[in-house]
Amino acid sequence: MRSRKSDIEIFHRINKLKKKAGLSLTSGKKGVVDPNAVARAQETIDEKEREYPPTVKELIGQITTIWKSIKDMPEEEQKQALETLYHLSNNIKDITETYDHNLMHHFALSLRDFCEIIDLGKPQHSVIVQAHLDVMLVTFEEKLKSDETAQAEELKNIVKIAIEKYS
Amino acid sequence: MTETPDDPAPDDIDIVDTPDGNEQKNTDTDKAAGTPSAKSENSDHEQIYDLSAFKVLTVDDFSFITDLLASSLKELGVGKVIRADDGEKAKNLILQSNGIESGNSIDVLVLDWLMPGMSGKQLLEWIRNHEKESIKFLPVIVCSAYTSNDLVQKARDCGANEVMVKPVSADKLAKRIQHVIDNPRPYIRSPDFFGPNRRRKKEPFPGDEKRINKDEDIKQSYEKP
Repeated sequence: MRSRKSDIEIFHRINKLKKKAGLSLTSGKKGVVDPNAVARAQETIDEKEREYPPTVKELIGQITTIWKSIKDMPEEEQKQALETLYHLSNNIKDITETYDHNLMHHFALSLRDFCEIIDLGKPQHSVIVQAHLDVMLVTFEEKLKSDETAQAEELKNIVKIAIEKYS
Repeated sequence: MTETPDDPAPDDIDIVDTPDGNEQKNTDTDKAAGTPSAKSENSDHEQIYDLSAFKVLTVDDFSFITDLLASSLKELGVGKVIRADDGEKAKNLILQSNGIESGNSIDVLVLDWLMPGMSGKQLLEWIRNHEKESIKFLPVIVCSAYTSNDLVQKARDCGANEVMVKPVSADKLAKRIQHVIDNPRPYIRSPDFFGPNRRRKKEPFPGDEKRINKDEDIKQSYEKP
């Protein structure tokens, strides 16, 4: 019979990555990623913000198209479509948080989380999804970024009321 | 940029530690093995890493994020970045690169946790359960917008080496890559877990030798009472 101790194994491995990155394994020295390269990499991330409008527009368009056709789908396809809606909303959330589009982030996160509990048999749930899509379109068209302005509060309130009333 | 051959070390098999530490390497040996030398010294204790021989795979269902990661990694100096937009494609790329002795292995995987189809979690489990050492020991940085301790715990329990919380920034990415290089954790195999040690060790292992089962304190922490 094996002892209990023999059930645990610990593997220390040669640090091939450190060697590959050009450092000796025995010098005790630590390495660092070139700070200038980090600054350049951040610049490329910042520059990519110009792709934000077409990307988000396309994602909202995809969500809208799927949502319009979901009721006519067979049950199995509906499940798949809801999962797609979840991931498309999550993608909007990812890009908005990268560039501090806080209001769109708020709605994308809210829609993503709601996708987990949508019951297509409840007509009132359609109202909640539509409320999200409406405010997301306004946010996009009006180029609203902050979630702390009076207009942002008003839009957030529309979704809040829809959720409270129709959940 | 051309690809650089993988580390030509003769094997990737862990061996039992020996009293004379016969697996110790020195700088001359490293150079003779064809590894690139660090570009320049940053201070007495830090050198700039040369990542030009590195190959990194990024996996995310959202092409915007894979593009973002790929261009950032390129700027950080990574020689080769490949991408996959789902877990199945990533699996195939890993098998192609690391499944055979190609000299062209993926060194680090940056993996989105939340993906349709095969999730990041499922891909990570596949990696850690794989029979090939070049796959099962692949360093994985899990990337997720979930900030809860619960996600970090889940990712660690599945065998993640590092967790990077979205939004992506160059600084976070560089730090996670640096951490994977600087602080490799020993891998633990217990009846219900295989992956990097989930307990931080006080004395870091320099990675200059292969050894098995030397750390009684780690071992004991995984043994069930």
